[in-house]
Amino acid sequence: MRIWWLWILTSAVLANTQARADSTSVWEGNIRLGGAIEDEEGDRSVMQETFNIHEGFGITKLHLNGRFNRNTSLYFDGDNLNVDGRRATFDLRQAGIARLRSRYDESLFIYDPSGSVDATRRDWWSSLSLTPKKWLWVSGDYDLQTRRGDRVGYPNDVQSALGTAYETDLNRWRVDAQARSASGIGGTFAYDGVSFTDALDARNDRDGSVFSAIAHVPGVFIKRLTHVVRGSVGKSELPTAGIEYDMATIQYTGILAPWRPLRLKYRFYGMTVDDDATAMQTDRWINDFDADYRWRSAIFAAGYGWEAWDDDRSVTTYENYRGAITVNHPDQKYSGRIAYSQRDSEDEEDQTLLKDTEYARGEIRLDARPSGAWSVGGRVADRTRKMPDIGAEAEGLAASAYARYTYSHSRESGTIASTVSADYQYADDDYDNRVGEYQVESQFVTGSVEVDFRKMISAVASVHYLDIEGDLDIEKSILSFELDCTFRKSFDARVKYNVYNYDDYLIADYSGDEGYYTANVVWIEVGYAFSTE
Amino acid sequence: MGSVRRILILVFLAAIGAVSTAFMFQATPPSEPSTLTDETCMDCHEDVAHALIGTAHDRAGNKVSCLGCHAGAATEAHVDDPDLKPVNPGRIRADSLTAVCTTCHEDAHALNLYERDPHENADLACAACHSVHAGTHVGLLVDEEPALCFSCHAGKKADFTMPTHHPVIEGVVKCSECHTSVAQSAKQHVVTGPSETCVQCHAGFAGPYPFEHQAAVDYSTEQGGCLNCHAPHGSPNPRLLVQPYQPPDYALCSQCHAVPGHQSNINHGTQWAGVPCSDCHVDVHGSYDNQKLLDPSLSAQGCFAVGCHTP
Repeated sequence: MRIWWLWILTSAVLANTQARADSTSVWEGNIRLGGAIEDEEGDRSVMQETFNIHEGFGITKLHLNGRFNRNTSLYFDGDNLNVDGRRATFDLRQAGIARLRSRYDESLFIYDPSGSVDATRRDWWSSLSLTPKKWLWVSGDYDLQTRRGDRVGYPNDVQSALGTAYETDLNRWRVDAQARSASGIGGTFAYDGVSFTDALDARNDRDGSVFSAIAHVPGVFIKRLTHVVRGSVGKSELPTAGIEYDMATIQYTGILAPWRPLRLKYRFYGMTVDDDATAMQTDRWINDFDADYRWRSAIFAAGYGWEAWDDDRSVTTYENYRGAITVNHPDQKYSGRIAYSQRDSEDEEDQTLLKDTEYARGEIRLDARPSGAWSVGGRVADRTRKMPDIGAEAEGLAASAYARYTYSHSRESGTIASTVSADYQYADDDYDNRVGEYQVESQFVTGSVEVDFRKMISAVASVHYLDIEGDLDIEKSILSFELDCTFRKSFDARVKYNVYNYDDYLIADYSGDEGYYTANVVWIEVGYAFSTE
Repeated sequence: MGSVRRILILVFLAAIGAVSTAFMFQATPPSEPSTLTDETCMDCHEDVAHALIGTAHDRAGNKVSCLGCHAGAATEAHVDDPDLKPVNPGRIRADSLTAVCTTCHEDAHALNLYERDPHENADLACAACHSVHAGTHVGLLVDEEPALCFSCHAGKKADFTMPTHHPVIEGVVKCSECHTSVAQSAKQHVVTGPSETCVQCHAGFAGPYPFEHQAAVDYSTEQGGCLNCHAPHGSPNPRLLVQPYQPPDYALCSQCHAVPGHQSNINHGTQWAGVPCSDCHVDVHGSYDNQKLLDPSLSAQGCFAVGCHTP
């Protein structure tokens, strides 16, 4: 278990820096012991929320956050450290000089109703950054991601051409250096590398590397003009298959604020990919022009963009139009936004499958905080995608609303606080083409009540309910109840009970009689928290 | 095709030249030197300075100062009349705020915000997610992910409760791991392949393949590339599919290949009605063997014989 190196490193740091602790040293943390009891029935592959609940007792939480002295701080947070589904984050920082970060997590995915066909992903990531001078920042990253387990075809009864198991390793690393002058001129040089190996199919093995540079240059004579230029070159290859790609990008952004309320922005993006195997080259070019103007609490924004994708078979051009009005009350009592964007593409040589396309999206959003206790809001958005040449059209309507109320009442004996919140979301997605149509309508309701009684007893009850209708017919719900009692200020006991339900009423189309799932899970924990403040 | 490129390069160069020369000779008036020091601030706000101890904004290292963020005429006036509000980076316009923060934090994340991030276009900037004086989470965030993101993007929360979804609420994946414009890295600016966001984790589908599935590499549209077939947040269909992959129509594939029941496509007779597309077109993400993404073993079965299917 490689996670233990985090513990060892933490201990070493603690021991090393303890001698330098001073009066500014502050720590807070907690440790929790407990576990879960799970009773489930039905198709285990349909409720992702329960995939990583594992029975057994152990350290469910270890949290430490604080500083040794004025400059050195440490953060560690770990979940389920000695049972499956473990996760940890580590962050050690010497303010303004160095920072070491690490993260680990693992997750299980279940593919079949019995739960016996599954795969686990594990991810180790570490990063070290140094700031030897105020104008220089150097960093290095390394990430290893592995996947092991079963692989299944889809639909479930077909044979997968991708094999029946996972045994892959993805290694990624990066080093970069960023520098900046007092006048605001800055730049970054970076080198990225990637190596992917598939022990079960060497054809997938892949190596790649990219060198990139970024320059950030204020206008030489004009204070309100800024230039940002980026460029990168890279190579990606599949050694077994003898395939090689060469890639390059160039980006430019110029931002000009001729006077305070107005700002103009121009962006250019160019990309080229050369495929040595097929001798094909793809170029992409983008030009974007945007302007925004501020008047009192409102911002008016408008933009136009022109793009081209050019490869050996086709040229597709795009025109983008966008506009928005945003209003933000200075005291954040309300905010709103109306936005519309449109994107039209033209297949110049009539070679692509979709041919010409038309996209349009409109949105209205309003958020309000009429008092300190209340906040309410809503949003309506409509999105259409049309492909007239193939007679297909997709339209999605989404609406959402929320309300939250916070109550707090203080007396000498303590504070009683509660929060009530409710969210409602609706979505209607339709898809039509010349020979068929598909429609799905979904509604999602979530509500919660949280009560805190004098920081001694806290209780939370929540419900999530999802209903999908139309060409699908699915109901899903999660009920949750939690009670936490604190005693002697530092100790607490927590009980949490969740009920999961899933029903697919069109089970005949799926996997026989396995279209339902129900689970009852109880967590019991005791914790100890401390703080030196 | 070459002429398109030449025209665009000329437009690009002309735009840079026009913008640069148009304002070249505008002089910037020198600013008045300030007499304020941090000690002036500390006379009244020592508690604020104390709260910053141990953070990167602690004055002890002399790398930052109160006036590094709060300098300006309003602050000078505030010293004379405390009822007047000083310069508050949390309340001024996003591009100015970003400029304040990028005095030190001139990294790719800040540049993204400055250049093209929709947050900045909505007049949100660093202070919308980070709080220098009251941030209690790593990175001085005002809350942890995904709660921080959901506080504005409430409509996305339901996506992550769909029958299949990326495990964001479960804490396995963070919003910022995909939405790299807010991630603490410059990876967004580096081309690592046509589907760079998704293949950071799903590397097995990254290719490159000699025979790509065009839909998978077409990132020219708002929902292009992987999103032609997969809903990235969550979906009522298995495998995050945007349309069901079920008989008889296999609507997922019929989005572009209008062959429900296979009657509508001259290459597929009714004898194949109801048969999953991937029974033959097995390498849907890209093939090492043939342009139609067909199973190589079909050759051994005689399907590729002259007069029948040619890969």
